[in-house]
Amino acid sequence: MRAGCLAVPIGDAAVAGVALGAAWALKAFYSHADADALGWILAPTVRLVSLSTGVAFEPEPHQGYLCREQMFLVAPACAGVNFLIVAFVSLALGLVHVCSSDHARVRLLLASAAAAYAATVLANATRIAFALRLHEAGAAFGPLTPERLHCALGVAVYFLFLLFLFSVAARVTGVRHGHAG
Amino acid sequence: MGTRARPRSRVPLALVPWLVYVAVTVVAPAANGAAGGEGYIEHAVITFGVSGAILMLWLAAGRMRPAAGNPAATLRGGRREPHDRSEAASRYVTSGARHRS
Repeated sequence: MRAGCLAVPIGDAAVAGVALGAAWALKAFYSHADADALGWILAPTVRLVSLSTGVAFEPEPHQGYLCREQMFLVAPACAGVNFLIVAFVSLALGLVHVCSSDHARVRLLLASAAAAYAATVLANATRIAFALRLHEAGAAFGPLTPERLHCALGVAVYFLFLLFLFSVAARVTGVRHGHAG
Repeated sequence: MGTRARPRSRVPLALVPWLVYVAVTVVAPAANGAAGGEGYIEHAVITFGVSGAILMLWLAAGRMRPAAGNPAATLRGGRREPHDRSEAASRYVTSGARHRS
């Protein structure tokens, strides 16, 4: 095997291992967690939705946050933990190749986790705010039932936020260190 | 944060988040036995369709913008040919001048 062709630096492999391990652990936790256990991500998201839309939510023990006015429940499945995992792993795996030291790799992991959490709260609040409007309007277009529209809206909002997050992170990493690539 | 120069690659970096997104939202549930469940196919089709369409638009938009010296160009699928061509042209002129002298 020629050096520099297929060889992956051991530090990069370690970052990949840590990121994938954290993702697996979070996924395992999420699969059994109720709304109370997910308060660290549901509460700020719902607060942001309330601030941006003016819609009031009430906490329902173990169930999530309920908007009685529209009978709209923000359940644990709406917590955005999958997006949090995707954002964290994307940043860690996609940008690790610019790190040249172990210190830089640790900082990348920490920064990726913080950025992924902030992006998750923002993206999920945006998604729920749009979903509330869709729910209120009862929108449906032919084969696009309200459920399918809800799903498509979620994918579109999450994926756009993911691309913007990754783009900004790549730009910040490149500009700060003057690497034009 | 110490960094090193990125290897020049024509593979758009935007594929990384797309691949991770598809892996977590479509492949992982299937691996856990959700593939036979009600609504899985529908969810997978919507996820592939919407995220794939957005990715294509993102890459197309990146290719339409000038890419020289822009670190996010590869992320958006931007080409580096103009920069490379100008470098090649300057090399050609230099070597031609040397030839003539």
